[in-house]
Amino acid sequence: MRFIIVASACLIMQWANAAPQRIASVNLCTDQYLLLLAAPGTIATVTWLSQKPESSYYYERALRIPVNHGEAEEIVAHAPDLVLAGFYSARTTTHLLQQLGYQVELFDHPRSVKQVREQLRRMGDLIGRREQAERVIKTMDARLQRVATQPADDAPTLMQYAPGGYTIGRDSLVGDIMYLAGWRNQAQNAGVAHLGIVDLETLLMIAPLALIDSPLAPDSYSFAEQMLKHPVLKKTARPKFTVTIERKLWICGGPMVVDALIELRKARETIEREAIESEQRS
Amino acid sequence: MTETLLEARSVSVTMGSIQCLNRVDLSLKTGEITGLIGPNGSGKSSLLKAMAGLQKTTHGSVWLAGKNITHCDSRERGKAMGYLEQNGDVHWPLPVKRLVELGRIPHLQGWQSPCEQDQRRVEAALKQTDTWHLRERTVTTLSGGEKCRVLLARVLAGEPKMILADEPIAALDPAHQLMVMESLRQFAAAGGAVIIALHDLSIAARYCDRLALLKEGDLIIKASPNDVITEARLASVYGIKATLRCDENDCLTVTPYALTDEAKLLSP
Amino acid sequence: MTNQRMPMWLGLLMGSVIVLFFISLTVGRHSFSLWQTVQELLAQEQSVYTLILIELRLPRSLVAVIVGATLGLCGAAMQGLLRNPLASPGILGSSSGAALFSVIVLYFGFHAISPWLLPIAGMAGALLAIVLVYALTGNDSTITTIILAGVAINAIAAACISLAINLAPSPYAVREIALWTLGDLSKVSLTNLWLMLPTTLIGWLMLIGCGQALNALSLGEQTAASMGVNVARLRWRIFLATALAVGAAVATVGAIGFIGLVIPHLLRPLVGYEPRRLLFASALGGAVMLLLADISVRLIPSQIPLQVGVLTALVGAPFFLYLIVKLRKELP
Repeated sequence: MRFIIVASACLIMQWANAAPQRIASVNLCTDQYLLLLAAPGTIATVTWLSQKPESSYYYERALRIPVNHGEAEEIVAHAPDLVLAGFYSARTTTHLLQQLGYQVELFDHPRSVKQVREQLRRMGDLIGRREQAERVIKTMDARLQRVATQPADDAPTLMQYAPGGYTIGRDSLVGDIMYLAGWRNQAQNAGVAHLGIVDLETLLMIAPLALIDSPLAPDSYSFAEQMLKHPVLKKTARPKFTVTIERKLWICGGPMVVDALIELRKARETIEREAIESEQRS
Repeated sequence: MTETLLEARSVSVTMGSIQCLNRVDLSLKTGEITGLIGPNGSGKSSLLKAMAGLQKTTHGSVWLAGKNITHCDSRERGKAMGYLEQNGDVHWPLPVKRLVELGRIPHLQGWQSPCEQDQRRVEAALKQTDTWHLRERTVTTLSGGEKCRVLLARVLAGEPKMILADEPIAALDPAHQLMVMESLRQFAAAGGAVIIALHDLSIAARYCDRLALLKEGDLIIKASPNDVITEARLASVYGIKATLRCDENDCLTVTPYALTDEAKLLSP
Repeated sequence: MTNQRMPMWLGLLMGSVIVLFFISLTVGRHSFSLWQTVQELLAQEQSVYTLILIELRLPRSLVAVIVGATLGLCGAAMQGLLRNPLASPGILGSSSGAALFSVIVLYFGFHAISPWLLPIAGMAGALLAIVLVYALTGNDSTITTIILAGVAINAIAAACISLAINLAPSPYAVREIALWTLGDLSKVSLTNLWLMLPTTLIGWLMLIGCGQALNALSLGEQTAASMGVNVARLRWRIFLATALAVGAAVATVGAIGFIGLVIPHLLRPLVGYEPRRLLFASALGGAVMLLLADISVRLIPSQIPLQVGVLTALVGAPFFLYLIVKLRKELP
C-alpha cells in the first residue's frame, strides 16, 4: 500500500514536472545548447550541421543522434514534445509546426556574451535542466573573469574579413568577443554596426593591423574566397597579420566562446610584444 | 589568237544518288560566248560550279590555263574568273560603289584597302554597265535590273579573264536583258571568255557563239546556235513545240507554243 | 560620303575609350586625386592610394576595355560570318559554354593545379558550344535554326552550371551563380589580367585578318568562294578566335550579355554596313559600353554588389526592342 502511494507520488511529480523527453532542434545554435545541457536520451533529433567538425563544437556528442535537414516531415516523424529553432532559419518549417500545435521555441542568434548567458538560462528552463545550465554559466564566468578585458585606447586594430567582403560589427557575438579580448574593431569605421560588406578599397583605406580568418570550409574555391587572396593584400603594409579562429568556437553561443576569446587575446598580446621588440631593435 | 582558258574534261558530278553531270567535255576560248541551255535540272548550275572550282567533281577534272583547278591557288582562281551566282543577293545594304569595290578583293591582300588603281577599275566597271549614276545609292534601293547590272559591274571590276554566269537575266525586263548581254558581248570582244546559262533561247541564239545543250546531266550537243536549236531537238530535250524563225542577220527567234504529246502525258 | 563620316566617328569612339578609361580610374568608394597619385607613383613612393590605383582600379579598367572590345569585336565577326544582325557570341552559346567549364575548373579546385587552367577551360567551353551549335545546324542553315540551336545549348549549359554550382564544395558557390550569368569586374587583379591577355590577343589577331573575307561574304558563300575566299577555313578561324577571346573573358569576369549584340548593330550604319570596317569600330564601341556600365555600377549606391551585366541588360534589352520595332516599321 505504501509502495503504491510512493509510486503514484513519483509518477505525479514526473507528470507535474513534465520535462520534455523528445526534443527536436532545427538550428545549429540551438543544437549546441541542447547537446551541452540536455539529459541523455532526451534529444530526438538535431540538424545535420551539428555533426560537422568545422561548424559544431559538440559534434562528437551529435554523432549518435539522428539528424534532420530542417524539413517539417522529418521533425514530425520524431513526434517531439519540444521544437527549438532560430528566428531566421527553417521559417516555413517552424510556422508549419506551430500551426500543427507543436511547442516551438525560437532563439535569436546571440549578439553578446551576456545574451549567451541569458540563452543558456532560458534553454535550461525549457528542457528542465536549470541546475546544469547554472553550473555551465558559473564555469564560463569564472574563465571569463580571468581573461576578459577592455581595449585600450591604442589597442591594435582588427577586422573580420570573410569571403565576399563580409565583416561584423560591435553588435554581434564576434564583435563582443573582439572587444573583450582587447582589440579595437574597425568595422564601425566602415559604418558596419552588425553585419555588412566592405570592398577591398575600403579595407585598404581603413587598414586594420590584423584580419580575422574564420573559414567556413577551408580549402574550397569560389570568387568570394578568392577575394581574400587578392594580390593587393600581399602588397600592403596593413593588414599585416591574420588571426585564425576556428569557426565552431564562435559561430554559436556557449562556453566555447571563451576559447575564442583566449585565442584572440593571445594573438593580440603576441602582436603587441613583437611590436615593442621591433621598436626596441630599431 | 584564241586560247583555251578553261576546260572541263569528262566531268561527272554525283550528289547523293543523283547524277548531276555525266562526263561532260567543254572548253572556253577567248573571245567566245558559250551558252548553256537545257531544261531545269539538266545540270547547268552544276557544270558552272564545277568549272568555277566551287563543286568537287566525282570523275574528270577542270583545267584552268593548263593547270588542274584543284591545284590552283584560290586567289589565282579568283583573279582569273568572275562568277555570277544564280539569284545573287547582297546581305548588307552596302553603297553600290563599295559593293563593286568588293570585286577587287582577289587583287588585294588581307589588310589592304583599295588604292588609286583599284578605284579606277571600279569606275570603269560602273561606266561599262551604265551604273555610274547609281554609285552612291544603297544596293537595297535598286530595282532588279539595276542590281543585276551592279553585280555584273562587281565581276568586271575584278578584271577577270572569263565570266561564268548562272542565269543572270532570268528576272529582268527585255531592256535590261539586252543591256547585260551587250556588256558580255563587249567583254568577249575585248578578249574575255563567257559561259552563261540561259533559259531564253532567242537571246541565247542571238548572243552566243556556241551553245551547249544539256539534258539530265548529259551533254547532248555543242555547236553553233543554228545547229543546236532545231525543232526536233527542242521536242526531244525540252518537250515543246516551237516555231523557229531566222531574221536578216541569220539570228534565230524561238517561239514555243505547245507541249509535245509525250510531255503532255507527263504533266499532271 | 560614308568614307568621310567614318573617321570622325572613329575618332570620337577612340577618344571616348580613353576618357572613360581615366574616369574609371578615378571612380571608386574613395575619391583621391589621380594626378597626385600618379606623381607619387613616378616618384616610386607607395601609399594606400597608389596601391588602390595600381592593384584594384587599373586592372579593373583595363579588363573592362579588353573584355568590352572582345565582345564587340566577336559580335561583329559573328554577325559578318553568319550574315545576320542577330548573331552574337551569347546567342550561339559560347558565353554559357565558357562559363560552364570555368565553373567546373574554379569550384572544384582544378585551377589550383595551374592558374592557366581557368582561361583555357573558358576557351574549351566556348569552342565546344560553338562546335555543337554548328554540328546541330550544318552548313547552309537559316538564322532561325542557328538561334534555336543556340537556345538549346544555352539552356543545357545554364542547367549544368546550376548543377555544378550546387554540387560545389564551397558554401559560397551558390551565391555566386548570378556572377556567371551577369558578370562582375570588382574582384579583378593584375594576375587575372595577365592570365586573360595571351588567349585574348591571339583571338584578336586571328579576327583582324578576316575583314576582307567577311566583306566578300556579303555576296554569298558561293560568290565569296569564287573570289578566292576559303569559306570553311574562315568559319573555323572565326569560331576558334571567338572561343579564345570570349572564353578567356568569361573565365575572368563571367558572362556579360548584350554588348556583342547591340554594339555592332548601332555602329553598322556608321561604317556603311561594311563588315570589315565594323570590326575595329565594334571593338571600340564594346569597350565604351562596358566601361560605362562598370563606372555606373560603382556610382549607383547599393547595399549588395551590383553586377555589371545588369546594366548592360537594362540598356541593351530596351535598345534591342527598339530595333525590332524599327525593323517592323521598315519592312513592307
